[in-house]
Amino acid sequence: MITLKNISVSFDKKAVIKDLSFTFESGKKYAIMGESGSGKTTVLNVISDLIKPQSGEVLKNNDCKIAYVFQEPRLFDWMSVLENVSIAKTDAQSNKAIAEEILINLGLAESLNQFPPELSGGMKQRVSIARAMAYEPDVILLDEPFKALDAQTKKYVATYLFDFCKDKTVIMVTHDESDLEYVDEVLKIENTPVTSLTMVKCNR
Amino acid sequence: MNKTLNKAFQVAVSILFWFLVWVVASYRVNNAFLLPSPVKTLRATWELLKTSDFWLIAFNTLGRIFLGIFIATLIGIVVAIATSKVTFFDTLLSPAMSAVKATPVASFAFLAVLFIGHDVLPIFITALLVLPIIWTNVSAGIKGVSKEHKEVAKVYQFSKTKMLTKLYVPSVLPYFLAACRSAIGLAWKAGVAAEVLCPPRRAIGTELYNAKNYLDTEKLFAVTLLTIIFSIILEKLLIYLISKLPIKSNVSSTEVRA
Repeated sequence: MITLKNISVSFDKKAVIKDLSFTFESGKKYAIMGESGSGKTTVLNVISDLIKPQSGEVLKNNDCKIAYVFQEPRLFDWMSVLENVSIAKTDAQSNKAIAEEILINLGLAESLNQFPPELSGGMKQRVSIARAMAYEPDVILLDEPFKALDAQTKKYVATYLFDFCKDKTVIMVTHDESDLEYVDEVLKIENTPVTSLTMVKCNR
Repeated sequence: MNKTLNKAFQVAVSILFWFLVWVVASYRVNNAFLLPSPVKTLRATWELLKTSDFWLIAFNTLGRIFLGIFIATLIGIVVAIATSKVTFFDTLLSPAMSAVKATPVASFAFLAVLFIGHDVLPIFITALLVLPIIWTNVSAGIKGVSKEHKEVAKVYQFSKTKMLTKLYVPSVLPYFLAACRSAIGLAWKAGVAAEVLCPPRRAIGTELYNAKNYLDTEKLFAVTLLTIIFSIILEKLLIYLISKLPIKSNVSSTEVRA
């Protein structure tokens, strides 16, 4: 369970999140929707501790492992695809074996030893997803994870990812309504600064 | 293959062109004290290379310069880390580094020789002049590590070792290599200049100093030629050794400060 308690964030004195409180329940899948610049990514950055809120706190277990698939893949160009994925800290002994299996399942069997500059945008994004999975997290944050994928690839990547995340908490920022079939709850940001996450749809 | 041959051909033509310029110039000057011919210079070079004494002299200078570069590298990396992490250190040390860059070698040499011996002086001068180059470039490399990559490292809880070996070293390495390329040429110039200004017992600079005093221009040219060759060999060797380190670098980092 992750609880945002009275969170406020502002950049250059401009409030982006104001006194936001919300609880993400363990194992549930959430989609956050809202207009561009409404503060969706900032919510993910607060949850992942990349942004420290000016006030309020994020309550979560100390041993809670959070993976993050950023909007841009953010791969290390000087590492092979396999290294990029296996570098994510895991508790398993066989980092590389796990990474390899995930990459193969994501359709990247031929690219294990390639380097990011040799990959297409869609392939890079799949590597970024694989890195998050190899981390064996409790929570996965996804920021428009399928944006660079064509419809067919998106279908099997999303199916594989959400199947992997069965017992994990997923918080996904998206603009694409077709992504909503994978989540339990759809939350909407209706105003900026973000003061609430309004549940607009429950798929359960 | 054709490209390589073409390049080799161009290099050969360039060397031949400058050789001919030298031949014509020495023929026109027609005074070996002012400008010895290439043939005489090469003969003098060969004579030097045949003597074991010259090799001892060359290795003495090489050792001093190598030691100077090594000390500057160690200090430069430590200072770069400190100034990248603590802005105050950057503010504190920047004027000193600017002063070092702007001050003539002779000023440092004549001041430093009051405190240290002639044998150590070239090491000190080499280190002093190489230090700002290493510091500036390594700092640029450290600052060049992207915020996005640091965030990835934070999310995936990289250990300090992993941060260093997988993130910082690959980012800094291209800058460090560029620094080495600039530094080696400068190290030779500074080290040999220090040897000329305050001659140690056995050194290339001392040979140059003596050749100048005895108007032995052929030897002056021969020693200079060998100094250039040693500098090129040292540069290639160091770059080769660094490239053999088991570290992958961020080759996309091309912005380098000299």
